Amino acid sequence: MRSLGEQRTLADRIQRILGLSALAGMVATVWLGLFVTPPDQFMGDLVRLIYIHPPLAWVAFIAYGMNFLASLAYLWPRTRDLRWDQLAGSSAEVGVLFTGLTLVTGSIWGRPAWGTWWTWDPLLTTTALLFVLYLGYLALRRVPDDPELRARRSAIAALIAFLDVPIVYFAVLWWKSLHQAPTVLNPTTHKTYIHGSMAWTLLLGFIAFTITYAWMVMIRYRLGALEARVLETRITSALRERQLEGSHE
Amino acid sequence: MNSYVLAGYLVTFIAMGLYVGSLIVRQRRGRERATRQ
Repeated sequence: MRSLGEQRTLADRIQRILGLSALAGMVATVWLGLFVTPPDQFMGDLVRLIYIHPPLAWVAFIAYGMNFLASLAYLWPRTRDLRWDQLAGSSAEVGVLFTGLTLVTGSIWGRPAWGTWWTWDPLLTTTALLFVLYLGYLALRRVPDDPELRARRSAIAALIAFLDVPIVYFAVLWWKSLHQAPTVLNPTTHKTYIHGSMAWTLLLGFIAFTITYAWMVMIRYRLGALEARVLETRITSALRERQLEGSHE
Repeated sequence: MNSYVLAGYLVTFIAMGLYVGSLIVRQRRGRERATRQ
């Protein structure tokens, strides 16, 4: 059994390794994406946005998947623990950042490709809904209440919000959409429409953004635990002071 | 360099950098506060 100090050192080391890996992966993705890979036959240099836009969306899906699983683990009586709630909240916060960036980079790509910054396309609309749903989830988490009650309420909201995730994924297949169908492992044709250095750079982008997600969630989770501990100590010392005041009177 | 591509990369990395930077600062401050207590 490790002491608390050793545990902190191990977690710090993992956090540092994740951070350095994320940074290295991002630098390599940007370098390959902007300077090494060739322009596309039809889209020209615009294709370079493919190395960041789909990985951002992928990480948002992972974040909400993790939020869903952690919320289920909290609601399940055998695994009920506030640490699951903390993990769910941390993952959702990172997910909202990545969904926001998916929408922004998609809009920047849409302007030259489709001639508009925004259109009420099924995929875009359901993604915007996803962003708003999880913003609402994060707002709900901030409503002050008993920690157990707040965690249960948030977990139920997370399960409801997650219903939109498969709808976003299948939106381009279910409805007519301006947005192209998946480039990698297209569910309809089972083909991949990207090859060579472009495919490897896209794969690196997926890996780098996933590591970045893990790094961000780890920091956010540990920060939440630290804040909870500080608050608990503050409450305990305030109660002790009150008791001392009472004994003097 | 295509200006749309540049804008997409800049927005993404500035936003991610600001978020993770703020988390690291808050984590350090939290630790200092916890140590003082």
